[in-house]
Amino acid sequence: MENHKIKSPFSDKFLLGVFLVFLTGYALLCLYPIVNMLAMSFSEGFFANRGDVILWPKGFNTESWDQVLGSERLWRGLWNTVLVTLGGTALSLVFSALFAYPLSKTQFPLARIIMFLVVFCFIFRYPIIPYFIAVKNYHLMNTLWSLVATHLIIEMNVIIMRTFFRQIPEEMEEAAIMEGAGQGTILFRIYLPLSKAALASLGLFYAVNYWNLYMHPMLFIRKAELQPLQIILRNMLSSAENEGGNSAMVKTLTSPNTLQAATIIFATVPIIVAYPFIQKYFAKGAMLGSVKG
Amino acid sequence: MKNQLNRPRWKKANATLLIMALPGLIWLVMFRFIPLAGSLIAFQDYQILKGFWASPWVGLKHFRYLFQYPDFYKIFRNTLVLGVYTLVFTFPLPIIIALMMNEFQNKNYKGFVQTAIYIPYFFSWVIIAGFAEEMLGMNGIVNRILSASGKEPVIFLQYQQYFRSIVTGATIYRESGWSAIIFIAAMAGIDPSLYESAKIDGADRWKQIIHITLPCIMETIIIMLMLKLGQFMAQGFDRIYVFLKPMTLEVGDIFDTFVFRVGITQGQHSLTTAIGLFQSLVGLILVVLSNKLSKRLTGEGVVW
Repeated sequence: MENHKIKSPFSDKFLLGVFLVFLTGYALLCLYPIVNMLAMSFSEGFFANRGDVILWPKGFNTESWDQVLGSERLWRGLWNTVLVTLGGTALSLVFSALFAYPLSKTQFPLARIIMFLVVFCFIFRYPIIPYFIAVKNYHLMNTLWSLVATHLIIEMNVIIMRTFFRQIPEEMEEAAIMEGAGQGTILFRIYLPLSKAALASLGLFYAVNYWNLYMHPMLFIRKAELQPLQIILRNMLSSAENEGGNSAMVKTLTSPNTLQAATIIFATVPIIVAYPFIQKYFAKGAMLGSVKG
Repeated sequence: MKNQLNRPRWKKANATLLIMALPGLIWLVMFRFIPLAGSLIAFQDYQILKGFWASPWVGLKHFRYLFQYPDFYKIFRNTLVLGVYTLVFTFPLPIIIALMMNEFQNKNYKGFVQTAIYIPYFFSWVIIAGFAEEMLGMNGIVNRILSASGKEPVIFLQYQQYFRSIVTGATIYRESGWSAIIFIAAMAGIDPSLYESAKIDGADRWKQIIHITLPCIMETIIIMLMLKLGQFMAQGFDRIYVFLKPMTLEVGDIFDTFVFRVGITQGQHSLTTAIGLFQSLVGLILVVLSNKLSKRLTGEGVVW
């Protein structure tokens, strides 16, 4: 009891005040680059070059956006990325569910050994060079399939899904078997409808992974018209940067800075638009990641 | 009796289950085990035109070469130092954020903070690097603050001495909010009666944080730390590559970027596969060790 009487170094009010300032400050810091880029993208190049643009556009104009939205390269990159993300996520979910289901069955004699293989692949990383050579030998080079095929399964996601399936009460399955349902029916009619939340979270993980792929397209895709958004974005950002010095003091509507900013915003808009819809699945998803079977 | 009745049905069910597992198994073989078997080219002088079967075997030649090769120690050191930086400096903030969030009840405020701090996790490294270029560039906000205080502007991304800090800072920016989720969830599971009795005993918030919240999430903290330790060798190619410039190669070149540059671009397949195997083996040892350690400390493994 004595112990509790000793005063803490910080009073409740002081503590809450510090927390409030810190959290709010950190949250604003996270948003700052996005707001700054947005302001920059609508600013006059002259002001952007002088570093005058902070939160609000200066010398408002849409010239940078006209150029970025007129860039066929960017739109094609976006299209490739959307194709890979939508198609890939759908296929990944089917593959993962089909794979995780048998692994969740204790009666399935091969479940243990296959599970061991999955965990082994999860912890022993394949060296990248033979992986590259293998994909090359499958004739996947210079196709969008190379991106989808290589990411159909993420070991961690299969492990998560198996854990989730295991939590579904066995009685449901037994009842279905009594009525003559086969394993396929049980998976698609009982397990999957009960796993909507898990599917949404895993779908989100797969989708983010596809959307942000960067090393893989560098490895597998050399054709300009097949390159996804991240590669195009990177190339445009680097080339804009190299032009940096020349136009520094010329009074123009656009500058490398404003063009870079508009390009970056172009690539983040899809994420920001999708964000409110996917947000509710985060917490669940991150939680799922922590449960092991 | 029941079991016997079920047996033929289970035989059929097992056949169905095997068919279901087949696509995944084929995928594992194609994209994991064949590349793994292909790692044997580390013991060959692999030539892409001859292929695996016709390339000559050379035993440990590449491994011997590797351990005498000064660049190997350079990239090994770079990988280690960046790994330590990442582990030490990115680990505490998510816990601090979660501890702070836990003290607020207002749903709108919490919602705002969460929305803001999770967003960066969804941006690719290319976008994060774009942010960094703008913020730390000649006309970026950092240099504006510097010149306002009378200092010369610096193009931070072009200097070796800033490279590790920039990569670490960018990682903190991108991942801290997301990593906090797991601790927030762990705190949500704490029995409220613990706080009630602490209040009756006269403990204020600081004491509650130190004596209740922190001990209650200690297990989660240890497991997450071990998980990070296990991933030490796999630090992510994108994260480093997007910041790497010729000027910063000396400190920024890690195993992943070296293998990409020398293996894919310069075509030294066997040597870089030897490096890759070395990296995978060290990674495997780390995972096994951290899993053991986690089991000893918390009774729960990280992976199995």
